[in-house]
Amino acid sequence: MIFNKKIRILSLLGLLISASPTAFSQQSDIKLQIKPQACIVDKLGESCQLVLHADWQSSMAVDLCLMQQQQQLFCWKQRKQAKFDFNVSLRETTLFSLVDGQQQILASTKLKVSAANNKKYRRRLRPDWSVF
Amino acid sequence: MYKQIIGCLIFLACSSVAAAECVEDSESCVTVGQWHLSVAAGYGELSNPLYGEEDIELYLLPSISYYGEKFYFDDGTLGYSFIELPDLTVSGIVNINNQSVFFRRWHPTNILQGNIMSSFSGDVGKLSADISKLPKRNIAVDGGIQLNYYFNNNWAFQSRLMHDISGVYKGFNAQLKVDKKIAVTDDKRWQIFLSLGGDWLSRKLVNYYYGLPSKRLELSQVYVGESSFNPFVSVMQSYKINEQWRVAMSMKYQYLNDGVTQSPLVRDNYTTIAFAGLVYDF
Repeated sequence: MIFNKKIRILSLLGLLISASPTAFSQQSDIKLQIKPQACIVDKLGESCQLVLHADWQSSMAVDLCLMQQQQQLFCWKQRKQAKFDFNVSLRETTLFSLVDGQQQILASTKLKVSAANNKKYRRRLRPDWSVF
Repeated sequence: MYKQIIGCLIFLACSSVAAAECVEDSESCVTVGQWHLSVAAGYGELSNPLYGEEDIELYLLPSISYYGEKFYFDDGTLGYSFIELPDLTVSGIVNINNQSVFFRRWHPTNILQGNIMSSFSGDVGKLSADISKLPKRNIAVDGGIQLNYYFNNNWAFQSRLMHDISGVYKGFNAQLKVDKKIAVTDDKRWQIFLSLGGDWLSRKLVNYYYGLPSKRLELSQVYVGESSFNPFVSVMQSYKINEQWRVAMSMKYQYLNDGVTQSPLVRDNYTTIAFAGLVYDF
């Protein structure tokens, strides 16, 4: 929680909330949409915490699970659609996917984490004034 | 002194806490791809341990550095970091050997000093030698490897092994150093940096700079240098006034061991550096 206070999410890309394209699966007619699709943190490596809205539809009733990278979040049985909100904490661009019982990806979409400050830092290898 | 250094290293190794990655520009972290320039204006002295030479006064100390993803230049040291982890950096480096600072008025580190000695203008104290017969001590360039290990954000260890790549003294030198950072105030506006370590100089290095060669002098005047481990302790404190200005003070004491001090050229068994002034970060 203390860490949360440190995190300054500068802005969420509003336009993505209103008009983000739906991710279509190549292998099925299942559509997965996650909003927003981007999060901006102050510096790379910082955590982006937000509430995501997920929405998927299928032409037929299916068993599937929503995955965050390799982590299983939610599962449904014999459903044609679902709409729900959930909390996530992300440090890097993350793939969300719907998989079937054989772990085959039916649909997926990425949530991009980018930094407002793209500067990189590294350790200084000499102290100040080490002239001598 | 050796036992103290080893004891300190063991303590650090046992009490290590993971070092955090750099996430902002600070005293110990720099922005990649940017030049960093600062100038310290004030007063200080570098003591000269040689007979017949005066201490070197310091008025202006510039600091310039550039860090790329791998390559870096920092106050005369050119380096390439081929291993860079959050707590470990290993670099190949090239720099100018500092031993010649006592012998050369045009040594790069002497450029902005007020009181510059003349090269071997004084007497050779422990014997009566014709100093005009002594060969000049040339500036040497060293190349080698440097390892920086960060126990945590406040404790660090550095070691380096260097070899003369300019063919001047044809020997080695090495350094071991432990650094401790202390934040006096919670906002890190006032910080103290302590260092404890030592420089090892090979026999060839000592002999080149502090030896008296048989070719130029009578046998009774000849001195052949021995390798020397010279421990040092330093303290630097910095008080940040604002983003550009800070007040800083630095002191270093280095003990010179027998290999150096038995030379007839050497008067003192130590060197000191002290400086206090205002620093402007550009």
